[in-house]
Amino acid sequence: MRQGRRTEYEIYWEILSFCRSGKTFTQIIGRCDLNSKNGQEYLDFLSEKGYILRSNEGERNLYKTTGKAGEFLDLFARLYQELFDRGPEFKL
Amino acid sequence: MATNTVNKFGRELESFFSLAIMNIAISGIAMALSISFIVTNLAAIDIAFEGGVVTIGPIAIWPAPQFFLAVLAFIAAGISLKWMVSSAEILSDVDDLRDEYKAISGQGGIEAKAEGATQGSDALTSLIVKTMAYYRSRKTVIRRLSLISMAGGLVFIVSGIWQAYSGLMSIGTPGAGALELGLVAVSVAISLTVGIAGIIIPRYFSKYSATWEYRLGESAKAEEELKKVLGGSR
Repeated sequence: MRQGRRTEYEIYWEILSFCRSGKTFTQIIGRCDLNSKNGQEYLDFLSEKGYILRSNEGERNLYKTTGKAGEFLDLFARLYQELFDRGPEFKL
Repeated sequence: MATNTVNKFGRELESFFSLAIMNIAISGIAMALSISFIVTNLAAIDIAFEGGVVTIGPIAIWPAPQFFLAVLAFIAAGISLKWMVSSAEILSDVDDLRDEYKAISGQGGIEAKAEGATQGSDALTSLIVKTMAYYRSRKTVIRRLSLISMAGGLVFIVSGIWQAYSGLMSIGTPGAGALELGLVAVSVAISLTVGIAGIIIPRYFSKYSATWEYRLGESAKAEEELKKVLGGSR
């Protein structure tokens, strides 16, 4: 199943949670279902914020989530789990 | 809270999966019935014309009632086909989400890890994000499916009433024995059952949509908080 319509914040969260261990650009855009242009824009934004760090490991450029992103990641997980937990439940 | 969320997620997924299965089954029956109505009614028109004039009781009519039933059956077949294709699309997507949920929870994953470990929490949040994204991209299809199901249901109810009427009118005419009337009764019962199911199913889709619309509304509020932490967006 292709990824459906996600908000920017959902995409930020996906990138940051995926990059907890260093990942290459190709791995990121593949996993997060982004095209190269959008993928680069998201990574540039997160790098500017200091949420993601680019490093060279041998011949590979790796992107890794920094500790600074922790607050965003935790808040996102808490809010999304809460909004699912609260409110109505669909039952047959 | 996380275990509760996991359980709720699993229950909802199973409910939606059952709804999708039910839809496939009903739309399949509707499709089969429609085709059988087309064939039987076209054959009946042919038989009716062998006598020259078609009559219902004392009234000679054209076109024969079977003609209208055949047209109705064609419409029902078209709607049923659309109904089945849309249901299959939904079922395929829900099945993928269900597999993913099973794969993660089956590893002892979500429930065991969600109590504190990052990996478990990430897996659960990821599934919630995927399901939310799935709903956003599929809500038009779900709405269309509700309408198609409702339309299919109405067509089958009209068809059932029409068959019952035709059956009652044929009582006492040559060739309308107990067996024929019994078959008409069975056919009416099946049509009405499919029709009622077609009308009830959209209510569940509405319930599903209402649940997710609520969450989408809440997520918009959540985004405001996330925006503050992130300090804008790209």
